[in-house]
Amino acid sequence: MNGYSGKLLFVDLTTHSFTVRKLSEDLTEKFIGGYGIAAKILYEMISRNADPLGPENVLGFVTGPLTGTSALFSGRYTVVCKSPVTGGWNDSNSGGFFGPELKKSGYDGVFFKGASVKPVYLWINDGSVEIRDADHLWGKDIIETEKQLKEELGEKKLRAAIIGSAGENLSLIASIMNDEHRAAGRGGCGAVMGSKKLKAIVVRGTGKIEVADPEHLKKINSEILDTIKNGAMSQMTSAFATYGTTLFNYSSAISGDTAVKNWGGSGLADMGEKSAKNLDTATIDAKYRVKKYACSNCPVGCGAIYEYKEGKWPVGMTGRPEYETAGVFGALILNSDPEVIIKCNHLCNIHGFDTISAGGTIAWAIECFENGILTADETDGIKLNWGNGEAVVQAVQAMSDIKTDFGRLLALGSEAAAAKIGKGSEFLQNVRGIELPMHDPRLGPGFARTYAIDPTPARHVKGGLGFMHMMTPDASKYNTEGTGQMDIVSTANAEVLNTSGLCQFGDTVGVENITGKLLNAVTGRKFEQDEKLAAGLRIFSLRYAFNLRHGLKPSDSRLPPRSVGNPPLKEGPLKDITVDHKGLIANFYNAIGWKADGMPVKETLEKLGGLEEIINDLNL
Amino acid sequence: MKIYIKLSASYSAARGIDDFSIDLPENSTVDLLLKKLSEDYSNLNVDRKETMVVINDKIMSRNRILNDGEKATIFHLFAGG
Repeated sequence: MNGYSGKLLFVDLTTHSFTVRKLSEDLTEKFIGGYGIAAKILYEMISRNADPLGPENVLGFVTGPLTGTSALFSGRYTVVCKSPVTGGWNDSNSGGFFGPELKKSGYDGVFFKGASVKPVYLWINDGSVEIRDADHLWGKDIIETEKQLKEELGEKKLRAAIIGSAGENLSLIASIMNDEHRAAGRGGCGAVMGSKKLKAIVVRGTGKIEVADPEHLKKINSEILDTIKNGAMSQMTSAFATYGTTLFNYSSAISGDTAVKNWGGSGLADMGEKSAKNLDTATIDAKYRVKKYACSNCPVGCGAIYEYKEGKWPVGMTGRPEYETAGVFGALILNSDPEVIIKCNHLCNIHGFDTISAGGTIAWAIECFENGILTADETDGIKLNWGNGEAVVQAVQAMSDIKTDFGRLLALGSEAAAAKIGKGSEFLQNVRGIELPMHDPRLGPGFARTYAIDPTPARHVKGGLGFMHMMTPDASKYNTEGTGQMDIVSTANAEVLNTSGLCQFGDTVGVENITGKLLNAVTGRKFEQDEKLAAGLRIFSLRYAFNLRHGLKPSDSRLPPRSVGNPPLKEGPLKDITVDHKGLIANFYNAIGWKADGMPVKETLEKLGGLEEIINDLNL
Repeated sequence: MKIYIKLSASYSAARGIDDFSIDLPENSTVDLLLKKLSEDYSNLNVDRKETMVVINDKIMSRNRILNDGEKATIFHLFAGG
């Protein structure tokens, strides 16, 4: 099959055995690849009452048909599992080089069930598979582990996805890291990996992925490069290539896109222009950036390496914090010291914490401290006041060490931490326990629908109208009339893009239907709007059905009131705005052809095809 | 009338500077400001529907009439991780 290696690897960590299965054409036709195919597999493999941190959970690392080919922007892979935070479906994707290397090693995806008694890692070397002892790696950070793996395997070109202390200690905000600075961070997938005593999956692959029309693929790649250079978005792409996602630190503080003061504050009114300016990427980059880097097959290269060698918390060479990270360790906690952001980002990366959830948890803890819910006795004496950068670094250090009661509390993530102390739930800013990312629905109202009812809640990278709304100054975006059809089309497009293995930033350079064009050249299949809509909604429905199967009720998904302007802010760019999230959600359900309470309808799923199993399983 | 311009990083990278001013006729709108900037500076492609203009900490619509001496912050938003 063009665009696929054609094999899936299933590893049983309880018995230390593995099997290889052929990837069926039926699966690729209906669910494309990546988490589309994985949703089908996990739906069948994970029983209804499976403990997400028990051996019955399944952890998958999957690639899309574009991954490992010469298609531009194709460096992504996705981690899938049942989330220990939501109790439902989880997928989280990452860039770098791990995904293409996995695909070239001979497998479109690897799935782990069971759990090892002792720490192990999986070594895939051009198709051969070995489960190896990882006792000596347990406790090492991400950087140390990768270095050790390269030494002991004698392979400098290997790529690895690794957990740090967060995953090993089953922190619910643990990420899986690859290529040192790239993270599959969300939903607690690092904890699932830790529960299986799987320290790393290590790959080396030199295989070639066949594509349907190599000449056509070259042509599409040329069109992409030409558009980047000469298209309408060339100016933006050029700036993005220089500064990466942090390009928007300052502008997002002005617009209100970045949440401020645990979602209770307002843009510059709380931050102050001078403080916001401190976080401007041009200023920070000039001081710390030593080199840029790109993920596999990326013609833009939004990554960069910083060197922080002098100051309060020097860390040496480290990854440039992404926008989300700068937001949660900046405006969200009223910090304007870039060194705090760099240090916290570094700690999260080397110990394997999701930066969005880590920052969101710290913001929650600060508001609890400011309101007397957490006292200095309970925070190991750390004075967690708004804007106290030093205290934030101390708190993130405690979270990373996971040695004190306070460190262990933070490592739970905000939802479980509030439950543990039995207080502070009024300050939680999460959906189903997942901390909100740094795009405010009061600026981009479409984010409200996406955050609330995507099967992976509180995600800015899932489909919907948020991006479009965010980027328009037109106040008509707050009128929900007629949003449903556009919302489901955008959602379906994002599903296809994500499952193909494409980076979302590839969709912003200005090439129309970039996903469809690349998929067509690689797989030979047509991916015009109708095909994308059907495939995308099929995948969305399957992920959604996974949640229903595991007992998640649509009505239980609630947005934090602050995020939708309840009550509305009294000043700043988002003053007096309340988002009609219920209207957006109702429109979505209506347009997709489901019931108003969020339950799928049998006839709608039958039209999409390939979902007969879930129709029966859910008694629709 | 004089309008003071502040470009965020996404546009200042193209223009080469952050702050400058521009002269416009009385009663000019935000829309005219963006069109004039795009005309005057060929590498500053701000006449786009995604461009945001903030004055006095509030996002302005395209038909907002500008007042002499106002400071307009101009930027383009994007989502990232």
